[in-house]
Amino acid sequence: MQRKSWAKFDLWLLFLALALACFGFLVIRSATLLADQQVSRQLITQAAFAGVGLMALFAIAALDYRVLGTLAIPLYFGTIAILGAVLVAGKTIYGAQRWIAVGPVQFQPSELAKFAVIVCLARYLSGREEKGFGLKTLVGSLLIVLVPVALVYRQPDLGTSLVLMAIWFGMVFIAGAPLQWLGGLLAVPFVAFPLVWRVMHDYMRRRLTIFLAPERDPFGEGYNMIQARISVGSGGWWGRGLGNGTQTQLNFLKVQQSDFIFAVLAEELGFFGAAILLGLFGAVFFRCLLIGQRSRDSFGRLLAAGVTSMLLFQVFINIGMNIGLAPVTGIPLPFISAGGSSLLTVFISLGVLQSVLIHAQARRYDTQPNVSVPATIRIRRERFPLRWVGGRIGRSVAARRLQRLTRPGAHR
Amino acid sequence: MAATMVRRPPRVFGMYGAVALAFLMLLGQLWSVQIANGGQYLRRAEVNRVRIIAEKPLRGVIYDRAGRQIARNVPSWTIAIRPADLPRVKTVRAETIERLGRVLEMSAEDISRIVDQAKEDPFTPVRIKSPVPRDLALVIEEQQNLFAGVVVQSTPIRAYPEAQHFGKILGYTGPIPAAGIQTRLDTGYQRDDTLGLSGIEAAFEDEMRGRRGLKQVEVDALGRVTNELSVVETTVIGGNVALTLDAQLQRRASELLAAGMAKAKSGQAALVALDPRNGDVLAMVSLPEYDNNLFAAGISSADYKRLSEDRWTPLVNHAIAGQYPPGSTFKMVTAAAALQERIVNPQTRINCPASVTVNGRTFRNWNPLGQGTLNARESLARSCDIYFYEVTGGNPHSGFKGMGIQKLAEYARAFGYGERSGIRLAGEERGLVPTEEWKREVKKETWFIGDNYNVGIGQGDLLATPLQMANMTAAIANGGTLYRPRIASAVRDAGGNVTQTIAPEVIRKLPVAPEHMAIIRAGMRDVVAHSEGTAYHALKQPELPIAGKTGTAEFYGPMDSKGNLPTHALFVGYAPYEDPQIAVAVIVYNGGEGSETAAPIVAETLKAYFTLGVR
Repeated sequence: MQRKSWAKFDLWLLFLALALACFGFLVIRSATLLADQQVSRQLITQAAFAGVGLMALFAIAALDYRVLGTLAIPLYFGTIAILGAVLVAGKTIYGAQRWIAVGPVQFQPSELAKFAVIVCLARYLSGREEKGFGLKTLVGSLLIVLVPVALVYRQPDLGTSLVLMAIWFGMVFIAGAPLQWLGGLLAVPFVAFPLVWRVMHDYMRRRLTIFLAPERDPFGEGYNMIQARISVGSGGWWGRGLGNGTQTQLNFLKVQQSDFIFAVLAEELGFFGAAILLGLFGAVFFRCLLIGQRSRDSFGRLLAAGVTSMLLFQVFINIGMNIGLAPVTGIPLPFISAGGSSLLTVFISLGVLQSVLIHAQARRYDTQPNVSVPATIRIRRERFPLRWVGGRIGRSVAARRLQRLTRPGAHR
Repeated sequence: MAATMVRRPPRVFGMYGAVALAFLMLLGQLWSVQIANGGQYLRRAEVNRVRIIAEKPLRGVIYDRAGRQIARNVPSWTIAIRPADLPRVKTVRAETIERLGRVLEMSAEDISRIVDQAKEDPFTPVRIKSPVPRDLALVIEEQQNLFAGVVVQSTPIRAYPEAQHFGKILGYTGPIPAAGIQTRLDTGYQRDDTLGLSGIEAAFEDEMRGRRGLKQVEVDALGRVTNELSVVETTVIGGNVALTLDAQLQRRASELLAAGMAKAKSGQAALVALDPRNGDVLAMVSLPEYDNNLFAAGISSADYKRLSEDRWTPLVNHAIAGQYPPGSTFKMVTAAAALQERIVNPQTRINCPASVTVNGRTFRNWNPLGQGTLNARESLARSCDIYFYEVTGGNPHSGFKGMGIQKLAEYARAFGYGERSGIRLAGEERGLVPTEEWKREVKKETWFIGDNYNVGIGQGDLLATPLQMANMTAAIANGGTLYRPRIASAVRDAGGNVTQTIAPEVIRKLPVAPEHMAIIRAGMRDVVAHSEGTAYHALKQPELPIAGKTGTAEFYGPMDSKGNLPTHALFVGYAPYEDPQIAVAVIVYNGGEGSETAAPIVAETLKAYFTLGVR
């Protein structure tokens, strides 16, 4: 039976998202600060997109997420069509065809592709669950993801291609793919590296070599990496103060509002500010995975896995490229980077997860269909996912909750 | 299948693990960059934003002896590019260069080439175009965001009022020549500096260049200065050079010389005026001239080609580098040598026929009518060639022995011929005093008696610069002291205080007794004042007591219809006779008769000295 229950709405997740978005406003303001203006055009745009995103989040949360599942196929093919259109008619910014102009706004379809792939893979993998995770499932899922990857790669956009692959990997892992296969697949790029190297676009090759030795071209390709690291490093413990970062304000740091926004943050707010940011992100991932655990069906679980993989990969690579752990790949930092499409996609993804919570079906278990399980065990499974971690504390908490639930007149 | 009771941890814990791992890596690296190495990066952030920029010093000004400015600085605008500040994205960079090219009316390839040549030092601006009109400079400056990396420099450039009179003496400035640029860079010049390349500009480069100041400034990524932090070294303005030249005399002398040149249809002439009391150069003219304002802004290759290929070599200062046969103006040396060596005494008379024949060769007197027997003073006044033939080379018919070339050469050198005077200007030539050895080594021939004769009258292989002729005249005028010609008297700083004095210097005292000098002087006075003097008629007994000597020197060139070689017109003179204050030497290339062409120029110049009130 389906029931809407807004009581299940995850307020924590909402607050974390808003906190991150506001954090983003602060940093974008610093990055786009002009001498005569307090608020720049990019900041206003970002705030507007955040507003729209928020509304979208509630709208999607109100919608039953399973409807999304039925829309998976049209969504998928629609995305393929738009990606194709971008290749043909997209605007070229910074040398890549990634944007389509819709009215006054620039819209990046590859962001949409991430969402579409998550939904599609979730639908496909949850549909094949009873059959167990076999080779056919693996190949099928791979095919689903490789078509958008190919289109995105041709833009060329290596970053988004990698995000899509990361999404696939995370979802397939949660869906139960045998670990040996996954291990083997991970090894493939390393083994096939020489071939991959030759097939790569020129600029991607350069990006990788510069990542390994940015000092070799300090005024050309290596400039951004070096300046980002200088910006981050010069922040020290407490940062130089908002609006006072010399690297940011004197424009030594480039692409400040998107790729290297983290460096702005690190320069102006220091280790302290960066740690807070990491904490907020950590909490978001935690909440998302929790939703995955709480989800009653595998579709919801896989959606959570996909969203988490997407966010985790982006956060890791974007921050990584600011501090020298990853090559520059044009991946935006969720919530913080100025970019309407990214912000919107993230809010929508969180909206879907909220929907998973709100529209949770009444007790049906994936692994044991139609088996009547004692209420206590059910309740425990539903309410106490921390059982594995809690130990004695978990059990006592569980016992107290059990008391409350089984008192006369309690809702079931 | 569900029946298994093996409790494996759900896969979700793998994801928790991935999250934890990712965060550990990020935090760890963050720690390394911000805390462990934070100091190093902070230093580099400082290096980015702090630049030391050099402030170009103002170049010293050049004054004449009366304090008039003859070379000064005027503002001008230069467009330069600092390569490190050009946009990094190749397309934007190409756009910027193209935009600049359109504005400056230059091709983008030319600009790119200039920028590429400065690859090793990307922080120093490299000049693209100079000068540009003020409005253009302002347009670029106002749209700095469209021209990232382009620097608008307001630089002073040299301006030379009256370039046509002063040109070569002052010289010009320009960019450091490629050859020897390393030594310049080592001594504190920067790649885009200009320095003096010729004339006074070059001779006093060290005094006039000043010293650049260094300022510590904060810059943004476009290289624009956002803040001045501190002054590291104060700029030192270049020292001003006070020349010994008088601008008004120079102008007048230049006009006179040009007029004389035009009248004689000559293409080249030179004039040197010295103060016999101390060796000051009062005027130095070399025609044809060029406009050194052409060089101030950077001469076009077309202009330079035109100047360097001109057959009259306007780029050469002929006053110090032109080597000509002095002709009869040399006779004072011969006379002084003959008297001093007791070849003759002041009363000795020698016959001056129309010509003499020795060893089958005929040596003519200039006067085909013959001049009777003359003594030293009279021979000078009437410029009898035979007298001077004989005192130098002797007379085989009469057995009279001359002094020989060796002795004459000694005296010539004593008077300053055959050696550089040491004037502080580059490019001085030493002339030539031929001797037997010289002829044997260089021309591979033996010395004939005829060679003696020729040198005795200032011809043959003898060569002299107008400066040497003037210096000789000055030494005769002052009684026998040969000074080193002085072109500048002092260097002053911006406040007017003297930082360097250049004192008059004596090269040597002439080895001629005062009484012999007096005879020479008397002879020179007779040239102008005595009715038989060679310049008497041409100069029409001027009021100013002038003493001088005409010269009409043959040189190798196309002969005229009568079979005569072409001649230069020369005259040397000084005034006033009793207490000489100025000595002048003039040569007009292929000017014909010395008395007709050169003498009036000298006379007018001498008069101008007094009418203009030169002090």
